[in-house]
Amino acid sequence: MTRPDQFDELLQDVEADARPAVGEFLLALRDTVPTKPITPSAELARLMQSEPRPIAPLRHLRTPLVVLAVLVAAGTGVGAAAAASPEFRAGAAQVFSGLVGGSAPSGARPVPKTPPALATSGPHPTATPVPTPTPQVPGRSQHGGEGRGIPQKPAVPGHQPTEHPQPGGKSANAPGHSGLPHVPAPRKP
Amino acid sequence: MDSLSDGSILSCGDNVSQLLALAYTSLSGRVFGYVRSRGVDDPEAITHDVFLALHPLLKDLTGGARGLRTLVFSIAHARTVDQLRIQSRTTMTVSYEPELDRRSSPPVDEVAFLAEHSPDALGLLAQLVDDQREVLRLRVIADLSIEQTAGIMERSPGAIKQLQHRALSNLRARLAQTAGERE
Repeated sequence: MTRPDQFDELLQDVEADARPAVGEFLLALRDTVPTKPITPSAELARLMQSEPRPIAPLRHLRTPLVVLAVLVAAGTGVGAAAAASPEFRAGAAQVFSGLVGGSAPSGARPVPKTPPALATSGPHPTATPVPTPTPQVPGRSQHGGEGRGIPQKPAVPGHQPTEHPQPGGKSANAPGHSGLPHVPAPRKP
Repeated sequence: MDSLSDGSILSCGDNVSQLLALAYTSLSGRVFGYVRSRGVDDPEAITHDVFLALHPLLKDLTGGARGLRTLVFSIAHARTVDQLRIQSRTTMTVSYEPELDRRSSPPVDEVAFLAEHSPDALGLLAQLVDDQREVLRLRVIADLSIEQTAGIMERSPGAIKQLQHRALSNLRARLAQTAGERE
């Protein structure tokens, strides 16, 4: 209900002789307010009972997410620098080879891990390079197509060129099989 | 009924549902009384609308109990203005309020109460000009201070004091006139 100080404050704005009548009116006006809360609608009742899922449970994921974001950002930056400058790639390769060489046993000489294009122009390594396995395409030269602008087809291990069946003929892969389903001859009665 | 205080709001913490329930329990009766005193067709529905509009604003509530009370009646004031505008464009309807129906026979204790208090408070209020009525509604029914009323009506506190003074002077004159007619 109306706090006494506010009600008194309101009445002080009225001349003393009129205060009883005006006070009665103000009390009657105040008593038009229902003493009990209004019955809430179904939607309001639902809102007052249900609590939406708090965001707090996501807090424990904050640190891993920040670390992941930093790593992704750093990786993107390094990748962009490597793509933009060949010197960066060469420098990174030297640093990497230095790190690998530093951890190798004494007596062994570090093997520079440079790309083939750089390896041909640089000093020749004394250690025998380990040949790297290259995908081989059956029926195709290893150097076929390279350097001529002819795109290579992807290598499919075990893939053999197939013969196209001739109309009316038989396939070499399926001897004695015409490719049509076998229909048994009807028995004679 | 009005259990709204800074402590009760703090006890709700970040629980918006609990805060809405507290606001509704404490203020829905006053909002209903305020909306009804303005002559809106369906005061109960407007009261529900006020608290539905309040719900998304509660997470950013500031100012404790005083801030919440001002916010609730700011929404109620705006919703009522909108509703009265809509009503003025549509067919006139009269809502039935059992409490205000003089044709029914009230209980004996109510007879004594109405005989003691000047019964037609809302009828007398309706004889004032609109701004004066609104000041008395917000000050008495909504139980707001001069500053809160000024904020809702977008006037200065001095202007609200002036309106209040004029409203009470007019009331005094009308009450004296009514008393003279009775004699």
